[in-house]
Order: sequence, then structure tokens, then C-alpha cells
Amino acid sequence: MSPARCVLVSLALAALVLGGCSQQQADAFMRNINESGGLKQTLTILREPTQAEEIEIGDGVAETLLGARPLLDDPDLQRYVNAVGMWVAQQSERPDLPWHFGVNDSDHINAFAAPGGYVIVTKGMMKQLRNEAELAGVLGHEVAHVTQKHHLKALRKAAVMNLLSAGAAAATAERRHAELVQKLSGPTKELYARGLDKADEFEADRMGVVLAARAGYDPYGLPAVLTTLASADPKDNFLTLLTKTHPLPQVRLDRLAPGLATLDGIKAPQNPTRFQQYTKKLHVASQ
Amino acid sequence: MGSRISLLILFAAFCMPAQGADAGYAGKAVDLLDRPGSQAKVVARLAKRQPVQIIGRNGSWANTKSANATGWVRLADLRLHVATSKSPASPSARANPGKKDTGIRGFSEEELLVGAPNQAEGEKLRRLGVAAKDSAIFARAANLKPREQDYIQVREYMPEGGFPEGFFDE
Repeated sequence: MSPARCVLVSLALAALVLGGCSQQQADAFMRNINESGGLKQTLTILREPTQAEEIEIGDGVAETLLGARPLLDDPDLQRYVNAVGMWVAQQSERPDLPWHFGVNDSDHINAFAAPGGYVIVTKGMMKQLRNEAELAGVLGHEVAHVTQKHHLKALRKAAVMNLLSAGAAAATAERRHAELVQKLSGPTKELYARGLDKADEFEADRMGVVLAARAGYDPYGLPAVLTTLASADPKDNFLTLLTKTHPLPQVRLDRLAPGLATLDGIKAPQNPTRFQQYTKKLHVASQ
Repeated sequence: MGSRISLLILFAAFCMPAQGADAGYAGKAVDLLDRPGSQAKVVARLAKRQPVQIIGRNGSWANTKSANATGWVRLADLRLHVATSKSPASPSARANPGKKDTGIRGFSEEELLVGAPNQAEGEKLRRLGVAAKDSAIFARAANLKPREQDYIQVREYMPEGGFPEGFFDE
């Protein structure tokens, strides 16, 4: 785009953005243009990130999450969760993302998704599951967060796209990555400690049961997990972050129940034997 | 509202393993019946939180055995025992999250907030992954048959008669 055309487009865009703003918001917008070093960065905030940028953001988010607890040292289990997760992800609208699934070494009960195809499940969550259909349901819920870009959209509100372009000036790819991760760390921690909007969680539940059903599993895996969690004390020490960041399991079950009628009559496997084979070390280690 | 409750019961039925005795307890005080169904006779009454063993299942009903009686109860009225924390974290664990002295490996809000990004673990995670074709082979090995299934639409969320009062209060 020529410089003259660029200025015209930017002025039109600014007019569009400022048209619906208060004077205070308009001042902040213009201040942002000046402070962020120019128009390019501001335009970057407004546009949809490319898939490559989404994955780059996901890299940084995953590294921050793994900074709290590292991955579990159990290669067979990690490969198993990746095989199930990849199969579930293939049933989504974004099968070609570079999907990576990991179990971290945490006794807390939780699971996380990050932009670009990252999913982390805690060891504590794995120990609560009873079969592969339940695992598929949990992974389906997280895959849905990725395909719907729930975290990416939330992070964009925190001007993460601005951080991307700010890092672009770094001399090397490694340096750029390190700068990006460092700058992402604060917004990531804030988001994952606060949680997504409840509507995003309900949507991920609705999609998660369907992704598991498409993959050929008993679609009641995710509702089964929610039933298990509903039976636990929400003040349980290992549930505190999950309870803080998600609607209560019984509320999620209530929301899911009417829609499950569309899955009536599906008879599909739960695969308890294969699940127990790959997870038996978890239970031995805890004795 | 009625359909919502019946659906809850329906999927609670699917949640239960078909075999084996699950331990649980009554979620509320409830009648114990001589057979599944609303026409059955009451044989005893379970107190709220009274422990039971689930020894069988018939649709949305569970055959339970408690200390003083055996009988049927709706699955939705039961709660399963959940093995989460055996004991709450000690004060030292709360003050020093993630320390090994308690044996508890956490992922609490505090641990999330104080942790520094771990690039080496990120690299490990990026090396984990299974090719799509291998995941399909793995699925076939377990007799999983992919099916076409539409997503649940928000409009299908609306129970008959609309949402009950307080449904949106969380």
C-alpha cells in the first residue's frame, strides 16, 4: 500500500473507530497512536491475528502456564493423551492446527487451552476420569475453546496484538520470542486466574460433547465428569482455581441438559480398559 | 422444567459405570423403593448424606445398599464419592505454594501468578503431538466409529416452558 493510500485508509479507520466513542475514548485512542510508536501498531491491534500470530501467542501462553507446573514425566501417557486429543480435534473445524496436548504435574483438578492448538490437563484431573470417553469430553471442551478463539479474543482485549508488533523489532527470532513471552506473561496470568466469560464455558461444554460424539465416543463423558465434580466440595483445596474460573459444575450440567436431547440414543464406547492401561501409573504413584 | 430434570436423570444414568459397586451417598433425604419407577413401594428412607453402595442400575434408577436396607433410588438423587484432597493443604503449603514438603503439587492461583514462563517446558510440549493419520489408527484400534453430529444450538438450550426463575443466577 502506498504511503498516501495508507494515510487515507488510516484516517478513514480512525474516523470509523472514533465515531462511536466518547471524547475521552477518542483522546485515549489518539494517545495510543502516539505512544505506541505510530499507526502500524494501532492497526495491528484492530485487525484479526493471522494463524501464525495466533500460534505465536499460544506458545507464550503455554510457556507461562508451564511455568506454574511443568509437564508430567510419563511419555506413554503423554502420547496417549495426544492420540485421543488429536482424534477429537480432527472432528473440529480447525483440524490442521498444530495440536499439542500435555498432562502437567499438578494434583489440582483443572484443564487449560491456549491459542493455536495447545491443551494442558492436570494430573489431578486425569485421576478423576474413569474412561476414555470422559477424557475425550474434557479434551473436546478445551479444543472448542481453541477453535472458538475464546482465549485469543480475551487476550486481544488486553492489547496483546500490540505486544506482537512491539516484539517485531527484536534482532533475532529467539530474542523476539523471549520478549513476546515476557510481555504476554502478565495478561496471561491475569486471564487464567480470572477465567473466561461464563458464556464461553457453556459454549465449550455444548461443543465438547458433540466433538466427543463425532469422534465415536459415548457423548456423556463430559457430563459424567461434571457429575463427578458436582459431587465434590467446591471449596476443596484442589478445586479452588477451577471453581473460581468456571461456573459451578451443577450449573453447567443444568445448562447442558436440554441440548443433550439431540444426542439421545447414541450407543458408543467409553473405552475404560485402554484408559486404565495408560493411567495406572498415576494411581500407583499416589499410593 | 420437568423435561430438564428427566434429562439430568438420563445422563446421570449414562455417567454410572455399568458394572462394579460405586460408593456414594444420598444428595438429599429420599425414599428407598422396592423396584424402579414411581409406582413402587417405599421400603425405607435414606437420610441426607447417608452412605450407599450402588450395586446395580436400571435406566435412570440405581439399586443401592445401605447399612440397613437395599432398594432403588433415582440416580440424580445420589452423589458419588470423589477422591480429591485427602486433607486440606497445611498453612505452610498455603504460605509456600508448590513446596515439596507437603507432597502436594499445585496449580493454584498463587502458583500461576508467581511462576515465571518456562521455555524449556514449552519446547517439550511442542515436541508432543501425534499425526492425524496415527490418531485415526489409534481410534480404529478401539473400535471408535466417527459420526456426523451437528452442534447443539443455543435455541435447543431452551427447556419446555422456558427457563425457571433464577436459572441465570450464578
